[in-house]
This record gives sequence, C-alpha cells and structure tokens, in this order.
Amino acid sequence: MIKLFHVTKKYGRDDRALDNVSLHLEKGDFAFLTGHSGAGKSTLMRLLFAAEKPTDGQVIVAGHNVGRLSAGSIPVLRRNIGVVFQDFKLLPRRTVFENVAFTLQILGRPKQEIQDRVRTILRQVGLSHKSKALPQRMSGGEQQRVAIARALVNEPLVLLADEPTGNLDASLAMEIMRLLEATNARGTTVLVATHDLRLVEALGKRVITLENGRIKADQK
Amino acid sequence: MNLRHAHYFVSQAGAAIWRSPLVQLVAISTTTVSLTVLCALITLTSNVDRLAERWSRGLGVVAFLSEGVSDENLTQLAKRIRAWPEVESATTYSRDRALVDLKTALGKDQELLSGIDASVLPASIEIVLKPSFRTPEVREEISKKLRNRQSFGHIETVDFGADMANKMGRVREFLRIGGFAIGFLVLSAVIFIITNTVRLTLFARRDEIDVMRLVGAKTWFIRVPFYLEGAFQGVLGASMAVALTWAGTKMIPMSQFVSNVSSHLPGLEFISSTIVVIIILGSGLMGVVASHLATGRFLKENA
Repeated sequence: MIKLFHVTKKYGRDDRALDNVSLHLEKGDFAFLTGHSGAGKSTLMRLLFAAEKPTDGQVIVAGHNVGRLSAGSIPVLRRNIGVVFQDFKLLPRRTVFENVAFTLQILGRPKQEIQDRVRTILRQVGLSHKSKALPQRMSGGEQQRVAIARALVNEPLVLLADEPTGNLDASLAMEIMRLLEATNARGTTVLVATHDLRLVEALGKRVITLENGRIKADQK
Repeated sequence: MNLRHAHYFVSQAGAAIWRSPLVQLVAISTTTVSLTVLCALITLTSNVDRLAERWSRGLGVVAFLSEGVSDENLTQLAKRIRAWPEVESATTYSRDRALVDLKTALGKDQELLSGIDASVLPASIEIVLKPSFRTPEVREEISKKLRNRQSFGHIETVDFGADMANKMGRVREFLRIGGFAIGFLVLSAVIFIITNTVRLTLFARRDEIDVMRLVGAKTWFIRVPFYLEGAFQGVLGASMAVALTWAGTKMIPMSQFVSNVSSHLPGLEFISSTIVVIIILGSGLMGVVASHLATGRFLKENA
C-alpha cells in the first residue's frame, strides 16, 4: 500500500530532510513513525499525501507514483488517503456534521448517502450526540475525533496521522490511539507519526525510527 | 459537474458575497466608475460618428466658374453634370444670384455689401448627389472629373468639403484611438480590482481551501465559486455603468447650456442594445478572468 524506494528529499542544495529512505507497508498494516523533531517524520508524511515531491527515489501510495503525479491527478490520490493533523484543521464556522460531510459534498455524493455515512462515522468515533456542535466548543480530544471522522468518512485505503496526539493529554491521546487501532482493524492501512514513545510502547505495533532523515530502526 | 455541485457552487459564492458586503461594494462601485467612463466614451464616439455620417451625407460639391462665363455656358455645364448617374440635381448660381443670396444670408448686415458689384463673386453650380452616392469617395471622384480642364475648361475651383471632412475624420480617429486606449486601461483596472477582491476572499477562506485540497477537491472545483463571485461583480458593475450612462444621455440634453449648443444637432443617442449586452457580458467575463488569475496565483503560492 505504501512503498518508498531510496527516497531523498532535499530543500536547497545541501539540506537533506530525507536521505535514501526505503520502506514498505502492506495493506492493513499499522506502523508508528518516530524520531526527534527534525528527523524527517513530517516530510515523509507530506510526501505520502503528495504535498511534496521526492528529489530522488520513488514514493508509491495506493498504486500512485507521487513523483510522477500531475497537479490534476493529486486529488485522485488524496481521495484514497485520510490525513489527520496535530492542529485538527477543522472549519470553525461549520458544525461537526458539516465538517465531516464536507469531504463527501466535495465529491458530489447524494444528500442521503452523505447523511447516512456521516451518522455512521460519528457513531464510530463516539460523537453522535455532538453532531450540531461547533468545533471551538469541544475539547481537543473531541476535535481530533472529528478530524479522524472526516478523514475516514470516504473510507480511504490509507490513514496518515501526523502527531495526532500532540495537543492532547495522556488519557485523551490513548483514546485517539484506540480509535486509530479500531480503524486499522477494519482494514485501513495506518501510519502515525509521533514522538510520544510511551504511546508507541503501549500499543506494541511496528515502529520505524527516523534520525537525521535516515531510517535508524524498523522494529516489526 | 452535476446539479449537486452547481448548488454547492452557487451557495458558496452567495455566502462569500453575503459575508463581505463592504468588499463587494468597493469592487462593484469601482468597476461601475471605470466602466461608466468607457460607456460614456463609446456613447460619445458613436454619436460623433453618427453626426459625421449625417453631415457627410448632406455635403454636396460646388464648382466655381472662371470669369467671363456666360449664363448660357453655365446652363450648358449644369445640363451635362445632371446627366451623370450619381447626380440628383445641379443648381446654377449666376453672379447676380450669388450676390442676392449673400445679402439674404447677411440679413441686417447686408449694408456691408453696399457698393460691391456682382462681378466680384464667381458664378457656381451646386451639385447634390443621389443618396446612395453621398460618400467622400464619390464626391472626390466627381470633383476630379470637374477639374478636368479639357472637359470643363470654365471651372476654376471645386469645393467638395475635403477640409471639413479631413478635420472631422481626425476627430473621429482621435476618439477611436483614445477609446481603445481608455478601454484597455478600464478593462485592466476592472481585472485588477476584481483580482484583488477575490484574493481577499481567498485569504479569508484559506483554511477551507486547505481542507478542500486535503480531501481531494480538484482545482476547478475550488475555483468555480470564485469565478461566480468575479462574474457577479463584473456583471453588476457593468449593469450599473450602463444605467448611469443611459441616465446621462437622458439628462445632459435637458440642461440649458447643452440644449442651447445642440439646438441644431441631432439628439444624443444611447449606445445600441448589442453593445450594452457586449459590455455586460464582457465585464462578467473579465470578472471570471480576474478570478482565474487570483485563484491561480493563490493556489500556486499555497500549494
């Protein structure tokens, strides 16, 4: 599902954010991407959802070669990927329901289908009772669950989460991790970038460690 | 694109317009002012064209004869000229008649001519062309024929309004070139205004646009509501400009000064409905172009 072959990403002439990175994640895998700040975690995640292109090497996600994608084809890749960020990226003027439905509206899905799918996903993340609430009036954990619901509502093949628990306390962070684990159990490939080693140890999943843009360890 | 998308686009564009009334007001009013200048210029040019056309069609050719031409010769010449297919009439003016006409034209100032003999005035033939031949080219052609010494040895000079026609032509040319220059400036201004207004809306909605791109919205999908917003500003601005110009053409002739000046001129006419449609649709198109430029730049900068 995710394949990187000798990927290097340079900013300018000498600044190598990633250096000759190769890794494979099969369909249904769950992996953590760890490392200190500046190790290259976010750069790798950005390559996976085609916010960046590799300087060298190949990045294949859900069958798409990111380096060769035209600007017009990037949306096609992103419809197969759900992305969750540390800062949630929710639309403050829209309710929880509208935030989650936004993805399906953009894809031109019928109204009834949007209602059914949003209700289902909100039930799965435990937010059925907050569907009319505005994100600003919710806790960080709840907002992140809305972001996850939005990422999953289109049933993506891959879920990428970049520091999804960075703004949450320990108990809420574990709650989010359990939600990601449940998503993975339904068949979605999940890659979580985090520097929270306690969470990583608690879940006992595959751990890929980056250091200075290189893979230092890959513990399965 | 389907109906659900169309509904989404219209509602997004409507919401953007509704949420920023001041920005819309500034954009539409500036567009209105710019396009009013253009509409006024088009109105002026078309009216000058119309006036020149009418005046030019009314012009005839006057042949002045040399001294010593008898009334009989004058009559003979006029008869030959009347036989030409382009000529509607050829009226002869003997020296005596020319003096009488001049006195009549001077009215109470005819004393100025006291003691002046009819022989100082040349005899002439005034030629009126048939309507379909009333063009500068035919007048010049007739004038050339009359100046032919072999055929018309008695004719000394021919006046076919060349000087006035040239002057009028220069004025029309100046207005036309000025119109193009001002039109170019105005259209650039409209694009500039709408581009910047749309950029303001884009900045206000950048979080939403980020999310749209993240979840796989195609570029055209993000752009269409902004195209609608730009088209709205362009069409409304142009419609108001057209309305103001129309009101101007109705009000200006009513003012005392203008009515005094223009009492001998044909009334001021508003631009044709075809041009009105072109201006309104063209301005809407400019709005779309401006939005395309603004979104293109924004999406590139925030890729």
